[in-house]
Amino acid sequence: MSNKPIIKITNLWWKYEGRKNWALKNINLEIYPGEFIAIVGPNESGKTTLAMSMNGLIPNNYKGFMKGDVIVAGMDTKKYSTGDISKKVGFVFSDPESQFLTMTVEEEIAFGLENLGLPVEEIEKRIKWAMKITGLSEEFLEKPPYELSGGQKQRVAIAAVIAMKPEVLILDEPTSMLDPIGKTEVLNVLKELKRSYNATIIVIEHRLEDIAPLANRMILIYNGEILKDAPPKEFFDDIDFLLKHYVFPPEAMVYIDKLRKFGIYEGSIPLTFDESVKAVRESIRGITK
Amino acid sequence: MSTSSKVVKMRRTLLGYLPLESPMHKFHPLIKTFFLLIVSAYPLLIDPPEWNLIGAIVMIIIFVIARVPLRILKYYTAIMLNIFWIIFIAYTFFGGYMPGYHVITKIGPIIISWENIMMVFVIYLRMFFAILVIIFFLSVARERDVIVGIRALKLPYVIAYTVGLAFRSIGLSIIDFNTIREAEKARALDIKALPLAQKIKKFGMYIVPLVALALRRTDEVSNALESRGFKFTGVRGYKRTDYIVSKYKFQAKDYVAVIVMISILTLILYLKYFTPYMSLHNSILLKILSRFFEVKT
Repeated sequence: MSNKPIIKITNLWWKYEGRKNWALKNINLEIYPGEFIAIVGPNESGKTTLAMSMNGLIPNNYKGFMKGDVIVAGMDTKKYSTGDISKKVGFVFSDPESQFLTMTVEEEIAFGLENLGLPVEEIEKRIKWAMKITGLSEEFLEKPPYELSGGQKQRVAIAAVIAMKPEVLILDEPTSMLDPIGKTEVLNVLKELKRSYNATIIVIEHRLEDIAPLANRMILIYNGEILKDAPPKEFFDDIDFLLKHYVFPPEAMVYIDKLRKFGIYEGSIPLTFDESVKAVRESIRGITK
Repeated sequence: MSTSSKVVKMRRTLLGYLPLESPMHKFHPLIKTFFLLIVSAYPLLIDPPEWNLIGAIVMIIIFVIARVPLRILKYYTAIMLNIFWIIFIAYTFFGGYMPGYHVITKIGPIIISWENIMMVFVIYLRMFFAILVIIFFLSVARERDVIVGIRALKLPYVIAYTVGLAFRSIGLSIIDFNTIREAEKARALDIKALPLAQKIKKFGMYIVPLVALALRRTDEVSNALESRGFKFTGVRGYKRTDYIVSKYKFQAKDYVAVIVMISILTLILYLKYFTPYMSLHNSILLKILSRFFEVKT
Protein backbone atom coordinates (compact mmCIF):
# COMPACT_ATOMS: atom_id res chain seq x y z
CA MET A 1 0.00 0.00 0.00
CA SER A 2 1.18 3.51 -0.87
CA ASN A 3 2.15 5.99 1.85
CA LYS A 4 0.13 8.74 0.20
CA PRO A 5 -3.58 8.65 1.05
CA ILE A 6 -6.02 8.41 -1.86
CA ILE A 7 -8.69 10.04 0.31
CA LYS A 8 -7.79 12.71 2.83
CA ILE A 9 -10.54 14.28 4.88
CA THR A 10 -9.53 17.13 7.14
CA ASN A 11 -11.79 18.73 9.76
CA LEU A 12 -14.94 18.01 7.75
CA TRP A 13 -18.21 19.41 9.03
CA TRP A 14 -21.43 19.17 7.03
CA LYS A 15 -24.94 20.39 7.76
CA TYR A 16 -27.89 19.86 5.37
CA GLU A 17 -29.85 23.00 4.52
CA GLY A 18 -32.76 23.53 6.89
CA ARG A 19 -31.39 21.17 9.54
CA LYS A 20 -30.29 22.23 13.01
CA ASN A 21 -27.70 19.54 13.66
CA TRP A 22 -24.47 18.81 11.89
CA ALA A 23 -24.64 15.53 9.96
CA LEU A 24 -20.85 15.22 10.09
CA LYS A 25 -18.71 16.65 12.87
CA ASN A 26 -14.99 17.24 12.60
CA ILE A 27 -14.21 14.17 10.49
CA ASN A 28 -10.52 13.46 9.99
CA LEU A 29 -9.78 10.42 7.91
CA GLU A 30 -7.06 9.10 5.67
CA ILE A 31 -7.67 6.13 3.37
CA TYR A 32 -4.79 4.55 1.48
CA PRO A 33 -4.78 2.92 -1.98
CA GLY A 34 -5.81 -0.73 -1.93
CA GLU A 35 -7.46 -0.61 1.50
CA PHE A 36 -10.82 -2.32 2.11
CA ILE A 37 -12.72 -0.12 4.56
CA ALA A 38 -15.98 -1.04 6.29
CA ILE A 39 -18.04 1.83 7.67
CA VAL A 40 -20.59 0.85 10.30
CA GLY A 41 -22.98 2.65 12.59
CA PRO A 42 -26.68 2.96 13.37
CA ASN A 43 -29.15 4.61 10.99
CA GLU A 44 -28.94 8.40 10.68
CA SER A 45 -25.39 8.37 12.06
CA GLY A 46 -23.87 9.99 8.97
CA LYS A 47 -22.49 6.97 7.07
CA THR A 48 -24.12 7.79 3.74
CA THR A 49 -23.35 11.50 4.15
CA LEU A 50 -19.69 10.64 4.67
CA ALA A 51 -19.74 8.34 1.63
CA MET A 52 -21.37 11.04 -0.52
CA SER A 53 -18.78 13.56 0.60
CA MET A 54 -16.12 11.23 -0.79
CA ASN A 55 -17.52 11.18 -4.35
CA GLY A 56 -18.44 14.85 -4.51
CA LEU A 57 -22.23 14.48 -4.32
CA ILE A 58 -21.67 16.50 -1.17
CA PRO A 59 -21.20 19.49 -1.52
CA ASN A 60 -21.96 19.59 -5.29
CA ASN A 61 -25.46 18.06 -5.44
CA TYR A 62 -26.84 18.78 -1.98
CA LYS A 63 -27.57 22.11 -0.37
CA GLY A 64 -25.90 22.63 2.94
CA PHE A 65 -23.01 24.14 4.81
CA MET A 66 -19.54 22.62 4.64
CA LYS A 67 -16.36 23.23 6.60
CA GLY A 68 -13.05 21.45 6.07
CA ASP A 69 -11.57 19.67 3.05
CA VAL A 70 -12.08 16.42 1.19
CA ILE A 71 -9.33 15.54 -1.26
CA VAL A 72 -10.01 12.43 -3.34
CA ALA A 73 -7.37 11.14 -5.76
CA GLY A 74 -5.85 14.63 -5.74
CA MET A 75 -9.18 16.37 -6.42
CA ASP A 76 -10.74 18.81 -3.98
CA THR A 77 -14.46 17.96 -3.94
CA LYS A 78 -15.28 21.66 -3.59
CA LYS A 79 -13.48 22.47 -6.84
CA TYR A 80 -14.39 19.47 -9.01
CA SER A 81 -17.85 18.36 -10.11
CA THR A 82 -19.25 14.93 -9.24
CA GLY A 83 -18.97 14.06 -12.94
CA ASP A 84 -15.22 14.76 -12.89
CA ILE A 85 -14.71 12.90 -9.62
CA SER A 86 -16.66 9.92 -11.01
CA LYS A 87 -13.64 9.11 -13.21
CA LYS A 88 -11.77 8.23 -10.01
CA VAL A 89 -14.55 7.31 -7.59
CA GLY A 90 -17.33 4.83 -8.30
CA PHE A 91 -20.48 4.87 -6.20
CA VAL A 92 -23.01 2.04 -5.82
CA PHE A 93 -26.26 3.08 -4.15
CA SER A 94 -28.31 0.95 -1.79
CA ASP A 95 -31.44 0.80 -3.96
CA PRO A 96 -30.53 -1.08 -7.14
CA GLU A 97 -33.79 -0.05 -8.79
CA SER A 98 -33.26 3.70 -8.62
CA GLN A 99 -29.72 3.75 -9.98
CA PHE A 100 -30.55 2.22 -13.35
CA LEU A 101 -30.48 4.78 -16.10
CA THR A 102 -31.09 2.74 -19.23
CA MET A 103 -33.27 -0.06 -20.54
CA THR A 104 -30.84 -2.97 -21.01
CA VAL A 105 -27.97 -4.38 -18.95
CA GLU A 106 -25.54 -3.76 -21.80
CA GLU A 107 -26.52 -0.09 -22.09
CA GLU A 108 -26.38 0.23 -18.31
CA ILE A 109 -22.78 -1.00 -18.12
CA ALA A 110 -21.79 0.95 -21.23
CA PHE A 111 -23.37 4.21 -19.98
CA GLY A 112 -20.46 5.36 -17.77
CA LEU A 113 -17.89 4.12 -20.29
CA GLU A 114 -19.54 6.14 -23.07
CA ASN A 115 -19.41 9.19 -20.79
CA LEU A 116 -15.67 8.59 -20.36
CA GLY A 117 -15.32 8.69 -24.17
CA LEU A 118 -13.54 5.32 -24.36
CA PRO A 119 -13.11 3.61 -27.76
CA VAL A 120 -15.80 1.07 -28.70
CA GLU A 121 -13.37 -1.90 -28.50
CA GLU A 122 -12.31 -0.87 -25.00
CA ILE A 123 -15.96 -0.53 -23.91
CA GLU A 124 -16.65 -4.03 -25.23
CA LYS A 125 -13.66 -5.44 -23.32
CA ARG A 126 -14.63 -3.69 -20.10
CA ILE A 127 -18.25 -4.87 -20.31
CA LYS A 128 -17.05 -8.46 -20.60
CA TRP A 129 -14.61 -7.99 -17.72
CA ALA A 130 -17.19 -6.35 -15.42
CA MET A 131 -19.75 -9.07 -16.23
CA LYS A 132 -17.20 -11.76 -15.42
CA ILE A 133 -16.08 -10.25 -12.12
CA THR A 134 -19.70 -9.82 -10.97
CA GLY A 135 -20.68 -13.31 -12.12
CA LEU A 136 -23.19 -12.20 -14.76
CA SER A 137 -23.49 -14.27 -17.92
CA GLU A 138 -23.76 -12.72 -21.39
CA GLU A 139 -27.42 -13.70 -21.70
CA PHE A 140 -28.18 -10.80 -19.31
CA LEU A 141 -26.89 -8.18 -21.77
CA GLU A 142 -30.15 -7.82 -23.68
CA LYS A 143 -32.38 -7.94 -20.61
CA PRO A 144 -33.91 -4.90 -18.93
CA PRO A 145 -32.11 -4.52 -15.56
CA TYR A 146 -35.34 -3.88 -13.68
CA GLU A 147 -36.64 -7.35 -14.66
CA LEU A 148 -33.81 -9.13 -12.81
CA SER A 149 -33.76 -10.47 -9.25
CA GLY A 150 -32.57 -8.19 -6.42
CA GLY A 151 -29.09 -9.73 -6.23
CA GLN A 152 -28.70 -9.66 -10.02
CA LYS A 153 -29.81 -6.03 -10.11
CA GLN A 154 -27.21 -5.01 -7.53
CA ARG A 155 -24.54 -7.01 -9.38
CA VAL A 156 -25.44 -5.12 -12.57
CA ALA A 157 -25.15 -1.86 -10.62
CA ILE A 158 -21.70 -2.89 -9.35
CA ALA A 159 -20.65 -4.03 -12.85
CA ALA A 160 -21.76 -0.65 -14.27
CA VAL A 161 -19.54 1.16 -11.78
CA ILE A 162 -16.44 -1.07 -11.79
CA ALA A 163 -16.43 -1.09 -15.61
CA MET A 164 -15.30 2.53 -15.27
CA LYS A 165 -12.31 1.15 -13.32
CA PRO A 166 -12.42 3.73 -10.56
CA GLU A 167 -9.51 3.99 -8.15
CA VAL A 168 -11.99 4.14 -5.28
CA LEU A 169 -15.19 2.10 -5.13
CA ILE A 170 -17.82 3.13 -2.58
CA LEU A 171 -20.77 0.84 -1.89
CA ASP A 172 -23.53 2.31 0.24
CA GLU A 173 -25.36 -0.54 2.01
CA PRO A 174 -25.30 -2.69 -1.14
CA THR A 175 -27.17 -5.56 0.51
CA SER A 176 -29.72 -3.65 2.58
CA MET A 177 -32.60 -4.11 0.12
CA LEU A 178 -31.84 -7.70 -0.86
CA ASP A 179 -33.12 -11.11 0.20
CA PRO A 180 -30.63 -13.63 1.72
CA ILE A 181 -29.75 -15.08 -1.71
CA GLY A 182 -29.20 -11.60 -3.13
CA LYS A 183 -27.07 -10.63 -0.11
CA THR A 184 -24.88 -13.71 -0.58
CA GLU A 185 -24.49 -12.96 -4.32
CA VAL A 186 -23.36 -9.41 -3.61
CA LEU A 187 -21.02 -10.46 -0.79
CA ASN A 188 -19.41 -12.98 -3.15
CA VAL A 189 -18.83 -10.12 -5.59
CA LEU A 190 -17.22 -8.08 -2.80
CA LYS A 191 -14.92 -11.04 -2.03
CA GLU A 192 -14.02 -11.31 -5.70
CA LEU A 193 -13.40 -7.56 -5.91
CA LYS A 194 -11.10 -7.72 -2.90
CA ARG A 195 -9.25 -10.66 -4.45
CA SER A 196 -8.86 -9.46 -8.01
CA TYR A 197 -9.66 -5.75 -8.26
CA ASN A 198 -6.78 -3.58 -7.26
CA ALA A 199 -8.70 -0.59 -5.92
CA THR A 200 -9.66 1.06 -2.67
CA ILE A 201 -13.02 -0.32 -1.57
CA ILE A 202 -15.24 1.41 0.96
CA VAL A 203 -18.37 -0.45 2.05
CA ILE A 204 -21.14 0.76 4.30
CA GLU A 205 -22.68 -2.42 5.64
CA HIS A 206 -24.74 -3.72 8.53
CA ARG A 207 -23.82 -7.40 8.10
CA LEU A 208 -20.71 -7.31 10.26
CA GLU A 209 -20.07 -11.06 10.18
CA ASP A 210 -19.64 -10.91 6.40
CA ILE A 211 -17.78 -7.68 6.05
CA ALA A 212 -15.34 -7.95 8.98
CA PRO A 213 -13.21 -10.76 7.47
CA LEU A 214 -12.82 -8.72 4.27
CA ALA A 215 -11.96 -5.37 5.83
CA ASN A 216 -8.51 -3.96 6.54
CA ARG A 217 -10.05 -1.27 8.70
CA MET A 218 -13.43 -0.74 10.31
CA ILE A 219 -14.82 2.68 11.09
CA LEU A 220 -17.64 3.33 13.55
CA ILE A 221 -19.65 6.49 12.95
CA TYR A 222 -22.05 7.64 15.60
CA ASN A 223 -23.96 10.89 15.65
CA GLY A 224 -21.82 12.34 12.84
CA GLU A 225 -18.49 11.55 14.50
CA ILE A 226 -15.88 8.86 13.96
CA LEU A 227 -15.74 7.06 17.29
CA LYS A 228 -13.52 4.18 16.30
CA ASP A 229 -11.18 3.48 13.39
CA ALA A 230 -9.21 0.26 13.73
CA PRO A 231 -8.34 -3.07 12.08
CA PRO A 232 -11.18 -5.62 12.61
CA LYS A 233 -9.54 -7.56 15.48
CA GLU A 234 -8.97 -4.34 17.40
CA PHE A 235 -12.37 -2.93 16.37
CA PHE A 236 -14.24 -5.83 17.97
CA ASP A 237 -12.02 -5.91 21.03
CA ASP A 238 -14.45 -3.83 23.07
CA ILE A 239 -17.84 -5.40 22.35
CA ASP A 240 -19.58 -3.38 25.08
CA PHE A 241 -18.47 -0.15 23.43
CA LEU A 242 -19.98 -1.28 20.11
CA LEU A 243 -23.23 -2.42 21.72
CA LYS A 244 -23.48 0.92 23.56
CA HIS A 245 -23.41 2.63 20.16
CA TYR A 246 -26.01 0.34 18.55
CA VAL A 247 -23.54 -1.70 16.53
CA PHE A 248 -24.44 -5.33 16.99
CA PRO A 249 -21.55 -7.76 16.42
CA PRO A 250 -22.33 -11.36 15.41
CA GLU A 251 -23.65 -13.59 18.24
CA ALA A 252 -20.49 -15.72 18.08
CA MET A 253 -18.36 -12.67 18.88
CA VAL A 254 -20.59 -11.69 21.80
CA TYR A 255 -20.41 -15.27 23.08
CA ILE A 256 -16.59 -15.40 22.89
CA ASP A 257 -16.45 -11.99 24.55
CA LYS A 258 -18.51 -13.44 27.45
CA LEU A 259 -16.07 -16.38 27.69
CA ARG A 260 -13.26 -13.85 27.84
CA LYS A 261 -14.97 -11.92 30.62
CA PHE A 262 -15.44 -15.16 32.58
CA GLY A 263 -11.71 -15.75 32.15
CA ILE A 264 -12.31 -18.93 30.14
CA TYR A 265 -10.83 -17.56 26.89
CA GLU A 266 -7.81 -15.28 26.60
CA GLY A 267 -7.29 -14.74 22.87
CA SER A 268 -8.56 -12.04 20.52
CA ILE A 269 -12.14 -11.84 19.27
CA PRO A 270 -12.58 -14.19 16.27
CA LEU A 271 -13.77 -12.66 12.99
CA THR A 272 -14.96 -15.77 11.19
CA PHE A 273 -17.07 -18.80 12.09
CA ASP A 274 -14.03 -21.09 11.87
CA GLU A 275 -12.05 -18.83 14.20
CA SER A 276 -14.99 -18.90 16.65
CA VAL A 277 -15.05 -22.72 16.63
CA LYS A 278 -11.31 -22.72 17.27
CA ALA A 279 -11.73 -20.23 20.14
CA VAL A 280 -14.45 -22.36 21.76
CA ARG A 281 -12.28 -25.49 21.42
CA GLU A 282 -9.38 -23.68 23.10
CA SER A 283 -11.68 -22.57 25.93
CA ILE A 284 -13.00 -26.10 26.47
CA ARG A 285 -9.45 -27.45 26.47
CA GLY A 286 -8.50 -24.81 29.04
CA ILE A 287 -11.40 -25.83 31.32
CA THR A 288 -10.77 -29.57 31.06
CA LYS A 289 -7.01 -29.32 31.72
CA MET B 1 -50.51 -39.15 -24.09
CA SER B 2 -47.75 -37.25 -25.75
CA THR B 3 -47.61 -33.57 -26.40
CA SER B 4 -45.12 -31.75 -28.51
CA SER B 5 -44.53 -28.10 -27.90
CA LYS B 6 -41.97 -25.87 -29.50
CA VAL B 7 -40.50 -23.22 -27.22
CA VAL B 8 -40.55 -19.87 -29.01
CA LYS B 9 -37.94 -17.48 -27.70
CA MET B 10 -39.33 -13.97 -27.41
CA ARG B 11 -37.88 -10.51 -27.01
CA ARG B 12 -39.71 -7.85 -25.05
CA THR B 13 -40.98 -4.85 -27.00
CA LEU B 14 -42.79 -1.67 -26.02
CA LEU B 15 -46.17 -3.39 -26.28
CA GLY B 16 -45.47 -7.03 -25.54
CA TYR B 17 -43.20 -9.75 -26.85
CA LEU B 18 -41.95 -10.49 -30.36
CA PRO B 19 -40.49 -13.88 -31.38
CA LEU B 20 -36.72 -13.82 -31.88
CA GLU B 21 -37.22 -15.28 -35.35
CA SER B 22 -39.18 -12.20 -36.47
CA PRO B 23 -37.56 -10.58 -39.53
CA MET B 24 -38.02 -7.20 -37.85
CA HIS B 25 -35.05 -7.95 -35.56
CA LYS B 26 -32.83 -8.11 -38.64
CA PHE B 27 -33.44 -4.45 -39.51
CA HIS B 28 -31.47 -1.52 -38.12
CA PRO B 29 -33.39 0.10 -35.22
CA LEU B 30 -33.58 3.32 -37.23
CA ILE B 31 -35.79 1.55 -39.78
CA LYS B 32 -38.46 1.05 -37.12
CA THR B 33 -38.40 4.76 -36.29
CA PHE B 34 -38.50 5.60 -40.00
CA PHE B 35 -41.42 3.24 -40.41
CA LEU B 36 -43.36 5.11 -37.76
CA LEU B 37 -42.47 8.54 -39.16
CA ILE B 38 -42.96 7.78 -42.87
CA VAL B 39 -45.74 5.18 -42.99
CA SER B 40 -47.89 7.00 -40.43
CA ALA B 41 -47.86 9.96 -42.85
CA TYR B 42 -49.54 7.87 -45.58
CA PRO B 43 -53.08 7.93 -44.10
CA LEU B 44 -52.75 11.64 -43.39
CA LEU B 45 -52.22 12.26 -47.11
CA ILE B 46 -54.79 9.77 -48.41
CA ASP B 47 -58.44 10.89 -48.66
CA PRO B 48 -60.38 8.05 -50.39
CA PRO B 49 -61.40 5.63 -47.60
CA GLU B 50 -60.90 2.50 -49.72
CA TRP B 51 -57.21 3.37 -50.14
CA ASN B 52 -56.85 3.62 -46.38
CA LEU B 53 -58.73 0.34 -46.06
CA ILE B 54 -56.23 -1.28 -48.45
CA GLY B 55 -53.43 0.28 -46.36
CA ALA B 56 -54.94 -1.26 -43.22
CA ILE B 57 -55.17 -4.70 -44.88
CA VAL B 58 -51.55 -4.41 -46.03
CA MET B 59 -50.61 -3.52 -42.44
CA ILE B 60 -52.30 -6.71 -41.16
CA ILE B 61 -50.31 -8.71 -43.75
CA ILE B 62 -47.15 -6.99 -42.47
CA PHE B 63 -48.16 -7.97 -38.92
CA VAL B 64 -48.28 -11.62 -40.06
CA ILE B 65 -44.97 -11.44 -41.96
CA ALA B 66 -43.29 -9.79 -38.96
CA ARG B 67 -44.67 -12.59 -36.71
CA VAL B 68 -46.41 -10.08 -34.47
CA PRO B 69 -49.06 -12.05 -32.56
CA LEU B 70 -52.40 -10.90 -34.02
CA ARG B 71 -54.06 -11.24 -30.62
CA ILE B 72 -52.44 -7.87 -29.85
CA LEU B 73 -55.05 -6.34 -32.20
CA LYS B 74 -57.82 -7.96 -30.18
CA TYR B 75 -56.86 -5.82 -27.18
CA TYR B 76 -57.42 -2.68 -29.27
CA THR B 77 -60.70 -3.72 -30.90
CA ALA B 78 -62.74 -2.02 -28.19
CA ILE B 79 -60.73 1.18 -28.54
CA MET B 80 -61.13 1.15 -32.33
CA LEU B 81 -64.88 0.58 -32.04
CA ASN B 82 -65.18 3.38 -29.51
CA ILE B 83 -63.29 5.71 -31.80
CA PHE B 84 -65.68 4.78 -34.62
CA TRP B 85 -68.75 5.56 -32.52
CA ILE B 86 -67.31 8.85 -31.30
CA ILE B 87 -66.52 9.93 -34.87
CA PHE B 88 -69.86 8.65 -36.12
CA ILE B 89 -71.89 10.53 -33.50
CA ALA B 90 -69.76 13.67 -33.67
CA TYR B 91 -69.90 14.01 -37.46
CA THR B 92 -73.34 12.57 -38.25
CA PHE B 93 -75.29 14.46 -35.63
CA PHE B 94 -73.07 17.38 -34.73
CA GLY B 95 -71.07 17.84 -37.91
CA GLY B 96 -72.81 21.13 -38.76
CA TYR B 97 -74.52 22.21 -41.93
CA MET B 98 -73.31 24.30 -44.85
CA PRO B 99 -75.40 25.45 -47.81
CA GLY B 100 -74.96 22.96 -50.64
CA TYR B 101 -74.84 19.91 -48.37
CA HIS B 102 -77.02 16.98 -49.47
CA VAL B 103 -79.61 16.53 -46.73
CA ILE B 104 -80.56 12.93 -46.08
CA THR B 105 -82.93 13.49 -43.17
CA LYS B 106 -83.74 15.84 -40.29
CA ILE B 107 -84.21 14.90 -36.62
CA GLY B 108 -85.61 18.02 -34.99
CA PRO B 109 -82.97 20.73 -35.36
CA ILE B 110 -80.30 18.14 -36.33
CA ILE B 111 -79.61 17.87 -40.05
CA ILE B 112 -78.05 14.63 -41.22
CA SER B 113 -76.17 15.25 -44.43
CA TRP B 114 -74.31 13.04 -46.89
CA GLU B 115 -71.17 15.18 -46.54
CA ASN B 116 -70.97 14.52 -42.80
CA ILE B 117 -71.55 10.77 -43.20
CA MET B 118 -68.87 10.74 -45.88
CA MET B 119 -66.45 12.38 -43.42
CA VAL B 120 -67.13 9.59 -40.88
CA PHE B 121 -65.74 7.03 -43.32
CA VAL B 122 -62.92 9.24 -44.55
CA ILE B 123 -61.70 10.12 -41.05
CA TYR B 124 -62.31 6.75 -39.42
CA LEU B 125 -60.49 4.68 -42.05
CA ARG B 126 -57.65 7.21 -41.99
CA MET B 127 -57.39 6.74 -38.21
CA PHE B 128 -57.79 2.97 -38.49
CA PHE B 129 -54.78 2.73 -40.82
CA ALA B 130 -52.74 5.12 -38.63
CA ILE B 131 -53.58 3.22 -35.43
CA LEU B 132 -52.44 -0.05 -37.05
CA VAL B 133 -49.15 1.59 -38.00
CA ILE B 134 -48.65 2.76 -34.41
CA ILE B 135 -49.60 -0.62 -32.90
CA PHE B 136 -47.18 -2.30 -35.31
CA PHE B 137 -44.36 0.04 -34.33
CA LEU B 138 -44.99 -0.48 -30.61
CA SER B 139 -45.17 -4.25 -31.16
CA VAL B 140 -41.81 -4.52 -32.91
CA ALA B 141 -39.74 -1.75 -31.34
CA ARG B 142 -37.95 -1.75 -28.03
CA GLU B 143 -36.99 1.32 -26.00
CA ARG B 144 -33.45 0.67 -27.14
CA ASP B 145 -34.53 0.84 -30.81
CA VAL B 146 -36.07 4.25 -30.27
CA ILE B 147 -32.97 5.55 -28.50
CA VAL B 148 -30.59 4.03 -31.07
CA GLY B 149 -32.80 5.50 -33.80
CA ILE B 150 -32.55 8.98 -32.31
CA ARG B 151 -28.82 8.62 -31.72
CA ALA B 152 -28.24 7.26 -35.23
CA LEU B 153 -29.93 10.38 -36.59
CA LYS B 154 -27.13 12.30 -34.82
CA LEU B 155 -29.58 14.27 -32.74
CA PRO B 156 -28.00 15.67 -29.54
CA TYR B 157 -27.47 12.93 -26.97
CA VAL B 158 -29.49 14.87 -24.43
CA ILE B 159 -32.62 14.35 -26.60
CA ALA B 160 -32.00 10.60 -26.89
CA TYR B 161 -31.31 10.39 -23.20
CA THR B 162 -34.39 12.39 -22.23
CA VAL B 163 -36.53 10.00 -24.30
CA GLY B 164 -34.79 7.03 -22.64
CA LEU B 165 -35.33 8.53 -19.22
CA ALA B 166 -39.00 9.08 -20.04
CA PHE B 167 -39.37 5.34 -20.80
CA ARG B 168 -37.52 4.57 -17.59
CA SER B 169 -39.77 6.95 -15.60
CA ILE B 170 -42.89 5.22 -16.90
CA GLY B 171 -41.51 1.88 -15.67
CA LEU B 172 -40.57 3.32 -12.28
CA SER B 173 -43.95 5.04 -11.89
CA ILE B 174 -45.77 1.78 -12.60
CA ILE B 175 -43.66 -0.01 -9.97
CA ASP B 176 -44.29 2.80 -7.46
CA PHE B 177 -48.02 2.86 -8.26
CA ASN B 178 -48.28 -0.88 -7.69
CA THR B 179 -46.38 -0.59 -4.39
CA ILE B 180 -48.72 2.18 -3.19
CA ARG B 181 -51.79 0.22 -4.32
CA GLU B 182 -50.64 -2.90 -2.48
CA ALA B 183 -49.84 -0.87 0.64
CA GLU B 184 -53.29 0.77 0.57
CA LYS B 185 -55.02 -2.55 -0.11
CA ALA B 186 -53.22 -3.96 2.93
CA ARG B 187 -54.86 -1.17 4.93
CA ALA B 188 -58.33 -1.92 3.55
CA LEU B 189 -58.47 0.68 0.77
CA ASP B 190 -59.27 -1.03 -2.51
CA ILE B 191 -60.77 1.41 -4.98
CA LYS B 192 -61.54 -1.40 -7.43
CA ALA B 193 -64.63 -2.25 -5.40
CA LEU B 194 -65.82 1.37 -5.13
CA PRO B 195 -68.32 3.18 -7.39
CA LEU B 196 -66.83 5.56 -10.00
CA ALA B 197 -67.48 8.77 -8.02
CA GLN B 198 -65.74 7.28 -4.97
CA LYS B 199 -62.94 5.98 -7.16
CA ILE B 200 -62.25 9.49 -8.45
CA LYS B 201 -62.50 10.92 -4.95
CA LYS B 202 -60.10 8.38 -3.47
CA PHE B 203 -57.66 8.61 -6.36
CA GLY B 204 -55.86 11.40 -4.53
CA MET B 205 -54.80 8.78 -2.00
CA TYR B 206 -52.67 7.27 -4.77
CA ILE B 207 -51.53 10.45 -6.46
CA VAL B 208 -50.04 12.23 -3.43
CA PRO B 209 -47.61 9.42 -2.46
CA LEU B 210 -46.90 8.78 -6.15
CA VAL B 211 -45.80 12.40 -6.66
CA ALA B 212 -43.74 12.28 -3.45
CA LEU B 213 -42.00 9.10 -4.66
CA ALA B 214 -41.46 10.59 -8.11
CA LEU B 215 -39.71 13.59 -6.56
CA ARG B 216 -37.46 11.27 -4.53
CA ARG B 217 -36.71 9.25 -7.66
CA THR B 218 -35.70 12.44 -9.47
CA ASP B 219 -33.12 13.06 -6.79
CA GLU B 220 -31.83 9.49 -6.93
CA VAL B 221 -31.61 9.39 -10.73
CA SER B 222 -29.84 12.74 -10.78
CA ASN B 223 -27.27 11.44 -8.25
CA ALA B 224 -26.80 8.22 -10.24
CA LEU B 225 -26.32 10.23 -13.47
CA GLU B 226 -23.66 12.50 -11.96
CA SER B 227 -21.93 9.59 -10.24
CA ARG B 228 -21.41 7.93 -13.62
CA GLY B 229 -19.91 10.95 -15.30
CA PHE B 230 -22.95 12.23 -17.18
CA LYS B 231 -23.06 15.93 -17.96
CA PHE B 232 -26.07 17.55 -19.56
CA THR B 233 -23.96 20.52 -20.61
CA GLY B 234 -21.74 18.41 -22.86
CA VAL B 235 -18.67 20.33 -21.58
CA ARG B 236 -16.24 17.50 -21.06
CA GLY B 237 -13.47 18.27 -23.54
CA TYR B 238 -13.92 15.03 -25.48
CA LYS B 239 -16.61 13.30 -27.50
CA ARG B 240 -19.01 10.92 -25.81
CA THR B 241 -18.72 7.46 -27.36
CA ASP B 242 -21.77 6.03 -29.10
CA TYR B 243 -21.14 2.40 -28.17
CA ILE B 244 -24.73 1.20 -28.52
CA VAL B 245 -25.16 2.76 -31.98
CA SER B 246 -21.83 1.26 -33.09
CA LYS B 247 -23.33 -2.21 -32.52
CA TYR B 248 -25.69 -1.72 -35.46
CA LYS B 249 -24.68 -1.36 -39.10
CA PHE B 250 -26.90 -0.09 -41.88
CA GLN B 251 -27.15 -2.94 -44.41
CA ALA B 252 -28.50 -3.34 -47.95
CA LYS B 253 -31.93 -4.44 -46.72
CA ASP B 254 -32.17 -1.31 -44.56
CA TYR B 255 -31.48 0.90 -47.57
CA VAL B 256 -34.07 -1.05 -49.58
CA ALA B 257 -36.65 -0.57 -46.79
CA VAL B 258 -36.03 3.19 -46.68
CA ILE B 259 -36.18 3.46 -50.50
CA VAL B 260 -39.48 1.52 -50.59
CA MET B 261 -41.05 3.66 -47.84
CA ILE B 262 -39.93 6.94 -49.41
CA SER B 263 -40.98 5.79 -52.90
CA ILE B 264 -44.50 5.00 -51.67
CA LEU B 265 -44.65 8.38 -49.93
CA THR B 266 -43.52 10.12 -53.13
CA LEU B 267 -46.10 8.19 -55.16
CA ILE B 268 -48.89 9.17 -52.74
CA LEU B 269 -47.81 12.82 -52.92
CA TYR B 270 -47.74 12.66 -56.71
CA LEU B 271 -51.17 11.00 -56.94
CA LYS B 272 -52.63 13.46 -54.44
CA TYR B 273 -51.34 16.68 -55.95
CA PHE B 274 -50.85 15.90 -59.63
CA THR B 275 -53.61 13.40 -60.52
CA PRO B 276 -57.36 13.09 -59.80
CA TYR B 277 -57.05 9.51 -58.45
CA MET B 278 -56.81 10.55 -54.81
CA SER B 279 -59.79 12.92 -54.84
CA LEU B 280 -62.93 12.06 -52.92
CA HIS B 281 -64.98 12.48 -56.13
CA ASN B 282 -63.25 9.42 -57.56
CA SER B 283 -63.69 7.29 -54.44
CA ILE B 284 -65.40 4.02 -55.36
CA LEU B 285 -66.48 3.34 -51.78
CA LEU B 286 -68.08 6.76 -51.45
CA LYS B 287 -69.88 6.27 -54.78
CA ILE B 288 -71.38 2.99 -53.50
CA LEU B 289 -72.37 4.65 -50.24
CA SER B 290 -73.95 7.64 -52.00
CA ARG B 291 -76.10 5.22 -54.00
CA PHE B 292 -77.08 3.51 -50.75
CA PHE B 293 -78.19 6.85 -49.29
CA GLU B 294 -79.73 7.82 -52.62
CA VAL B 295 -77.67 10.97 -52.89
CA LYS B 296 -76.96 12.54 -56.27
CA THR B 297 -73.47 14.03 -56.10
